[in-house]
Amino acid sequence: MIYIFLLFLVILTLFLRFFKGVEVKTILTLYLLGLIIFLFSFTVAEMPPFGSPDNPAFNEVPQRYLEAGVAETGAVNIVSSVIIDYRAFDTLGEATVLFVAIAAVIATLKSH
Amino acid sequence: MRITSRLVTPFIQVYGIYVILHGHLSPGGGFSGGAIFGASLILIALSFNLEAGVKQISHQTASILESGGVLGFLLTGLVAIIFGGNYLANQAAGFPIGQAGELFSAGAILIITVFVGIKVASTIVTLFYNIIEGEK
Amino acid sequence: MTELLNVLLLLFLVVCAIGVAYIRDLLSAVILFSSFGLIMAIIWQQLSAPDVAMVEAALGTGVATLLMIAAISKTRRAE
Repeated sequence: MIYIFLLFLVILTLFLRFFKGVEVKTILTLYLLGLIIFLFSFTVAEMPPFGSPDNPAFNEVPQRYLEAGVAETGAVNIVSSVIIDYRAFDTLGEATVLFVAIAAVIATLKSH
Repeated sequence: MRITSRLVTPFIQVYGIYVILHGHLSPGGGFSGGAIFGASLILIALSFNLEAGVKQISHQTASILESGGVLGFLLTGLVAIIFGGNYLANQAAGFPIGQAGELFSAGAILIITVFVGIKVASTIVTLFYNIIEGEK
Repeated sequence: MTELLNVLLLLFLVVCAIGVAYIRDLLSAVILFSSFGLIMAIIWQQLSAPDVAMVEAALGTGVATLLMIAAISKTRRAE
């Protein structure tokens, strides 16, 4: 809740800074934006705490990685074993994205 | 500036290579190490001039290394198929796993990490050279 | 203590982001963006993701800033 309060303070100061001589439409827009930000931060505050063992992302998949990862891949770094062994196809996609990006840059800049 | 960068560059490069090679042991990996190595090459081109940077790694070498990185990644996956596993399989395709925790362990992970590192470093360098040279 | 540090870092992050959006001088905006990346790297480290922090510090702070400054030197500085 303290985070929400701090965020609301920041928004309020910003709001008061722009309050001098503005239209009604702008004020309504700012109200709407403040409401949306408040709802979003309320949702964030309702999320499970960082690193808690009962949040929804900690299901059987990371448990399997943590228990059998070293024996199956031989890598001590579990992050590396996930991104290069279990999800290697994803990393291949990333490398392809880099390759296509640099090909596009060369094609646009070298043609002149 | 030149003296400092001349002093600092070898340490940055050694750190980049360390991050790439120890990708399966400590935090880091191909992307981070390649970024550090490419940043050191950019530092040379910034502190001296563009010719000194191009002398370190020319355009042709950079593009060959870049294509070679992706091709090496793909071929490592194909080797796994040849030895009878799924695409990009590691242990199932018979890559030597070795003792966990040593430098030359983890089979295909080390190979792919090195290829990704080469690719990212040459990508950064090529991007920088192309934008700097660009159209005048 | 760590909580306070995190709150301070996040507040500074928000200030940096708003500053990048509001500032008119493009070079200053790029410098602010690089400080945004640096704070983001420290926050990744606080969230115990050191590899992401490394990538952010090298790419987001160093190389992206360099590329944007190169692009500014090819074009105009004012918005």
